Amino acid sequence: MGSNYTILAVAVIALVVSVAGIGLLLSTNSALSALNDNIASINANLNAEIVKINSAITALTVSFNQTQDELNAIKASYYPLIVKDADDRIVTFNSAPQRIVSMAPSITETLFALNLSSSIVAVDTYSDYPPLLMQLENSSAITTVGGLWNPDIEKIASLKPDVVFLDQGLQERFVSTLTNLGLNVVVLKSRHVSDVEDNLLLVGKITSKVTEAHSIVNNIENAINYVSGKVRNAAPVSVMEIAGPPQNGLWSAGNSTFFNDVIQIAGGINIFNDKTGWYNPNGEDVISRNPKFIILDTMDLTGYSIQQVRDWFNAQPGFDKVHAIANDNFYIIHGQAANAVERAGPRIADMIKIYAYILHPEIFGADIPRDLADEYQNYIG
Amino acid sequence: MKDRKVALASYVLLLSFLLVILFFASILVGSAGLTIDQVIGSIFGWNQDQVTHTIIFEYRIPRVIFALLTGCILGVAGGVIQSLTRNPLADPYISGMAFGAAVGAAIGFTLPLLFLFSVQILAFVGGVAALGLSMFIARRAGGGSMSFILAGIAVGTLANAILMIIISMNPYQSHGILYWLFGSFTTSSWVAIKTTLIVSVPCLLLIFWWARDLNILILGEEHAKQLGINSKLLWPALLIISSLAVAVCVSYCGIIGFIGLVSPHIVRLVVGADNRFVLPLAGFTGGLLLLASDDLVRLPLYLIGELPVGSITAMIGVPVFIYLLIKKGKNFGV
Repeated sequence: MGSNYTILAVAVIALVVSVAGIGLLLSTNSALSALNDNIASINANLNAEIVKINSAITALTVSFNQTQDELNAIKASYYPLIVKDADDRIVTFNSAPQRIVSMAPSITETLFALNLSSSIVAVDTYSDYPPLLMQLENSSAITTVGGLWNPDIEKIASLKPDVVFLDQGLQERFVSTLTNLGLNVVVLKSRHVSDVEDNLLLVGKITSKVTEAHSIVNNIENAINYVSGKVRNAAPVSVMEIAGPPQNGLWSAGNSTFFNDVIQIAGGINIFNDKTGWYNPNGEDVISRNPKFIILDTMDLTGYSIQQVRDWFNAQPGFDKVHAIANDNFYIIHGQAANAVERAGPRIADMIKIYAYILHPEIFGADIPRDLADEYQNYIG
Repeated sequence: MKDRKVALASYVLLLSFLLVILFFASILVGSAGLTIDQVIGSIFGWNQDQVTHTIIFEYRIPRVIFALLTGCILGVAGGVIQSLTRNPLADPYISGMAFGAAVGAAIGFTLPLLFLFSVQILAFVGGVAALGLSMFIARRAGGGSMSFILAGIAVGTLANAILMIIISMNPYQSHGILYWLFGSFTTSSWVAIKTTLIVSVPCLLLIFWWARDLNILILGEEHAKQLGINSKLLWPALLIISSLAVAVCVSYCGIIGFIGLVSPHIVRLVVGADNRFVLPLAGFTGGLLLLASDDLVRLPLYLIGELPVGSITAMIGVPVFIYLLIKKGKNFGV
C-alpha cells in the first residue's frame, strides 16, 4: 500500500513540476516574443539611420567632387602664369613644371622643401641634401648635370626640362645659352636673407606650391624674429667670417653677402662690413680690427685637417692676441653644418640660430662646439 | 773709365738714398690706418701699444724686407739669364718659366699633404723644367732670340693650359691659385725671409763669384774654352742656382714678372755690361723697384683692397720691353 502513496506522491510532484515547467515555458516565450519585438523595432531604427548616413555620405561625395572640380578649374586658370625672375626677366609657364633642373645646392634644397622631389629630373654635382636626394640619385630617378661653374649644358638640354633654376652669382652667364636652346630659365639670387625668401615664394608660385612656400618663409621669419627679439638689448659682438681653409687664401665676407645679414640678425657686427663682396684681408687687418669671434665655414677642407686650420691661425704673428683666438671663440663649421650655413636656401633658419647661439651664449645658454659638422641639428632644437 | 766710376758711385748713392726713403715710407702705408706718430713711436719704443708693435714688426717690416729681397733675387736672376741666353729679352714670363713654376705650385696647392715645402719644391721643378724645355726647343730651332721667344710662348701656353685644367678641377682652391699667380706680399713673414735667405744667399754669392766667368761666357763658348772656363758646367749650374733662388721667394709671394727684365737694363744704361757690377746693382735696383711697386699696390687699399703686385710690375715692365723690342730688336735678330 505504502508504494501506492509513493507513486501518488511522485505523480503529484511530477504533475506540479510539469505544470510549473509549462508555466515557466509559457512565461519565457512571452518574454522572448517581447524581446523579439524590441529587436525588430531597434533594427528598423538602425536601418533608418543607415539610410540617413548613406544619403549624407552621398551628399558629401557630391560636394567633395564639386570642390575638386572647382579646384581643378582654379588650377587650370592658374596657368598660364607669368613671373619675373631675379634678373627681371619675364618667364611664362603654361602648366605646372613637371621636369625641373636645379643648378645649385641652395636651389635643390628649396625644391625639396617645397615637396617637389618627384618633379626634379636633375641637379648639379654639389647638391647633396636632403638625404632623400641621395636616394633618388642612387635609384637614377634624379641625374646630375655638372658642377656649379661648369654645368653640362648639352645634358640639361637633352633632359627637356620644363624649367631650369640657376643662381645669379654663379651661372648668370649661361642664361642666354639655355634660353637659346628653347629652355625656360629662372634666375634666383643669393646675396641677402630676403633673397632666400623671395626665391621660395617665386619657386612656390611657379610650381603652384604657394601655401608650402609661405609656411617655410614664415619659419624663416619666426627664426629671425625669435633671434632678433632675444638679442635686441645685447651689445653686438664683432665677427670675422671666413670661407674655406686659410691655406687657400684668407677670404672674408664683406657687405652684400648674406653672411653679413645673418651676422647682423644674430647680434653681431661684421668687422669687414665696409668691404663689398668677399675681401682678402691681411694680418694687419685682422689684428687691428680684433674680432671677438671668428667663424670659419668650409664646405670642403681640401685635404687640410681641422687642426691644420687652427695651426695656421696660431702661427700668424700677433693672432694669439686677437680676442677670438685668445678667448677660444674660434669656430670651424664644416660638413652639413657648413652647407646649412653657406647655402642661401631654406636651412637659413638653422644658420641664423647657429650664429646667434655662437655669438650670444649668455642669452641662449647654448654651448656650440668649436668644431661643428653634420650633427649641428642637435644643438638648435 | 773715370766717368764710369763716377756714374757707378752716384748711382749707388742714389739707390741708397731711395732705399732709406722708401723703407720708411713703406712702413707708414697699411690698412690699419696708423698715424706717423704711432709708427715712429712704436719703432723707437715710446709707443708701447702691443697691437701697433705687432703690426709694424710682424707685418709691415717683414713685408718691406721680403719685397726688397724678392726684387733683389729677381733682378740678379734676370741679369744672369739674359747673359746666359745672350738674349736681352729673357724674362721668366717670356721664357715660359713663370708658367712652369705656376703649374708646379698649383699641383702643390691642390695636394696640401704631399710633403713639406711641396709648393716651393714643385714650383722650382716646374720652373726649371719649363725653362729647360724652351731653351732646348730654341737651340734646336737655331738658337736665335726669335726662336727663344717663340719657344717660350709655346712652353708658356702649354703650361698655362695645364694650369687651367688644374684650376677647373679644383674650384675650391682656385682663389688661392689665382691670387698666387697675381703675386702678393700679403703673406710675407720672418719665416719666409729666413727660408729665402738660407737658400738665396749662397746662390747669390756663387753668382757674384762667377760674374767674371759669365762675362766671358757671353763672348761665346769658344772664347770661354780658350780662357779655361768649362761652359758645359757653368752654364747649367748658373741656370739652376738662379732658378732655385727665384723659386723660393716666388713660392711665397707668387709670380712677379718684369722686375728681372727691367732691372738689369736700367743698370746697364748706367754702368755698362760688366756683370761684376751689373748683377749686384740689378739686385739693388730690382729690390727698390719691387718695393715701390708694392707701395703702389697698397695705395688704393681703402677703396678696393690690395691690387696684385704683378699687375704693377707688368705696367712698368711692358713699356720697357716694347721699347727694347722696337729700338734694339734688329740687333738681337728678333
